[in-house]
Amino acid sequence: MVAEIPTKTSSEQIIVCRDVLKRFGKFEALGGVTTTITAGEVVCIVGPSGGGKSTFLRAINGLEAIEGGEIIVDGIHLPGSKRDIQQIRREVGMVFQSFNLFTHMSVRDNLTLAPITARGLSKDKANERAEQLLERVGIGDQIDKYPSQLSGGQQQRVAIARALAMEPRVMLFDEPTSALDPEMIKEVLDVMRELAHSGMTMLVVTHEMGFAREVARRVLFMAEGQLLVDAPPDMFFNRPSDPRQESFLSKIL
Amino acid sequence: MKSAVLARYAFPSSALTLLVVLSFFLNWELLLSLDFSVVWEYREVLWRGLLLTLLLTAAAGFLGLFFGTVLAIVSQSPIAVLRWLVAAYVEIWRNTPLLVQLIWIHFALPIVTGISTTALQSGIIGITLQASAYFTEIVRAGIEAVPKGQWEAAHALGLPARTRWLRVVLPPAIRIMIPPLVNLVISFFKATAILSVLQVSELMTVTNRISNVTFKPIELFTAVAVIYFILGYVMSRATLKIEHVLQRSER
Amino acid sequence: MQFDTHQLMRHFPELIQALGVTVWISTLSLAFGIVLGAFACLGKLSGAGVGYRFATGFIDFFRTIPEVVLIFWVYSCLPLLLSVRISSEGCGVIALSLFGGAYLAEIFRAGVLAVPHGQVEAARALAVPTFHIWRRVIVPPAIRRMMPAFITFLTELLKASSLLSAIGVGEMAYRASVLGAKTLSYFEFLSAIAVLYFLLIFPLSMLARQTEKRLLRRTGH
Repeated sequence: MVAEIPTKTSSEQIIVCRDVLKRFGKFEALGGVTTTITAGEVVCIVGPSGGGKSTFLRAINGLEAIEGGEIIVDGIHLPGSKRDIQQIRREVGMVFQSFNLFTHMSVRDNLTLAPITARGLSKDKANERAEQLLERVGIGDQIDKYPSQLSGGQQQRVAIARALAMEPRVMLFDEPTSALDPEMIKEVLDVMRELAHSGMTMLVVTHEMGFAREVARRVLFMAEGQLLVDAPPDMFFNRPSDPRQESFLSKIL
Repeated sequence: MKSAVLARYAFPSSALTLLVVLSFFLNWELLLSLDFSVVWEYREVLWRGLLLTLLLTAAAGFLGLFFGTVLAIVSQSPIAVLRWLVAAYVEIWRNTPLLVQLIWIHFALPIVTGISTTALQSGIIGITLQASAYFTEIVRAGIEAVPKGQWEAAHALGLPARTRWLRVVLPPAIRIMIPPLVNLVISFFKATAILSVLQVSELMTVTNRISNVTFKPIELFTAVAVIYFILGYVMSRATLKIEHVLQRSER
Repeated sequence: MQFDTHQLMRHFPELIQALGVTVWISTLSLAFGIVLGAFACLGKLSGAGVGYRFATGFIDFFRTIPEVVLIFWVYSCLPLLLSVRISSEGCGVIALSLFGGAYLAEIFRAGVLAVPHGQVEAARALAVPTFHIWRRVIVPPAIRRMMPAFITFLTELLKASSLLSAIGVGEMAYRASVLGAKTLSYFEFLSAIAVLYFLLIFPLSMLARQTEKRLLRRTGH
């Protein structure tokens, strides 16, 4: 059952993708993906490895350049200029599978770097925001520690707080719990759940089907660079419509 | 994004501006009157110089490797004093300039030993001693990289010391050592040019002499620089090939 | 044989002054070399195009030719080509800076490439401007990682400064040869500067080794 998720503007399309094409040499990683994400939606993307899920996510914030089609994020068109990409990245936060925290900087500095340099916040305001966000994700007391002193789950929560510090309109999650030991997965999923309930638009690539079932408004299935299924969770998991989706689900569940 | 553009073009554009500025100072008259035939004229002398350079490189390589291996074996000795002596030798020779070593061997040593050496002899002694110091470290690293288990197995099997060394320890050690060894040889090729301070008649000495006689330094030094570059570059490429072959044969 | 300390004492100030020349010339060359190396490094990192080819050519050439050859070339050819008089010291600094720039470019490049790519990506995803990515995310860890190679380069630079004696620069090797010839106390003077060189270079060499060990412990590679 999908919980009622409050939306900021009920039908604003934050991300629009039309026939998105991406090749690595001869290999077609994305073969014409078309979909739309509206404000406040939580959308989960599942599928076999190498199916294009991560590539799709990375195309949205310009980490991967697309060869065909278009992506419109918050009104800005991709492919676009460097300035366009920078603007998109200010509004789109990303959380990586391997956290990618700046290991030579304290947690505090990790969180304040982008707001200060990319949004022009003063040091004090940035610090204030950092402290608030770390409290929100449950590790306010670790603010002056270094990443190497934290557990995997704590590091990922810092990564989420770091992305939130830019006050993005959309959050992208690229397999956020895949690199974590099992006992730490829950703390990260709890943070993501809270974020979803607060109305954040989220696009989550994950293998955590329980999370998808519980929190997502839609679940997307991607394989071989194609978007094959786009359905609400109960239909997705109980009434599969595609043979590859069926075989994938039978292996996972 | 603006700074990325800046970075990409900073080097060539500032180098270009420098060259443009320099070209105002450039002696175009001289440049246009350069006569490279002098290089061809003296090709025999230059060739002999080059041969000596290559010979000295080979000498440094083989003699250095020989003495370096001996010292590396000594450095594994259970006697502490011997280990320290080798370590001291290596540190002294690696942390002083080759030029100083050469002039010391040629001018200072005879005073102590009473034996005076020719320039060539001093040069070979100097470069060999330097080479040994560097080779010792490499051979030692190679030996120590061989798992102790193989040592012990050889010992347990009752193999005599010489067989132990030649058959069990050195072969795998050699494979590890080859890339740094080849790199060392290249650096000794470059070092032979330093022997010119003793007037050893290798390529650099010869070039200096010809230049003093013909007053055409630009043609000569440029040509010789190119020769050194080509040889050095070819050797570096060969080294990379060797490293690839070794990596692939690593089963 | 008697070790004639008398001569050494008499000319001690000159030796110390020569030491100063060695250090001064090395420092100047290092400064210019760092600037040159930084530019060349950026050029090579750009991956393709004019800047890349220029930088790679520069680096390959000045790393492959022997330093002596470069020194003699600058000394014998540059003043003629530019129709300007350049002092021996000036030629020495120019040659050592070119050689230094090429070596340092590779050292800097190795340092920059050793920074985990994921962190740079994260910074880009956070919309951190490129200048700040370099300043806060790339350069600090790169400097730490390149320290051992950088310090080793310093020892090579000091050793190369001795080559300038061949073109008449009054650094240590030159002074020792001249004094040795004048007083016929070659042994004393040459040994003395050999010791001085060792005292300059050996601590740096040890520092490089220590820094490398500490780095291995910290980062595991």
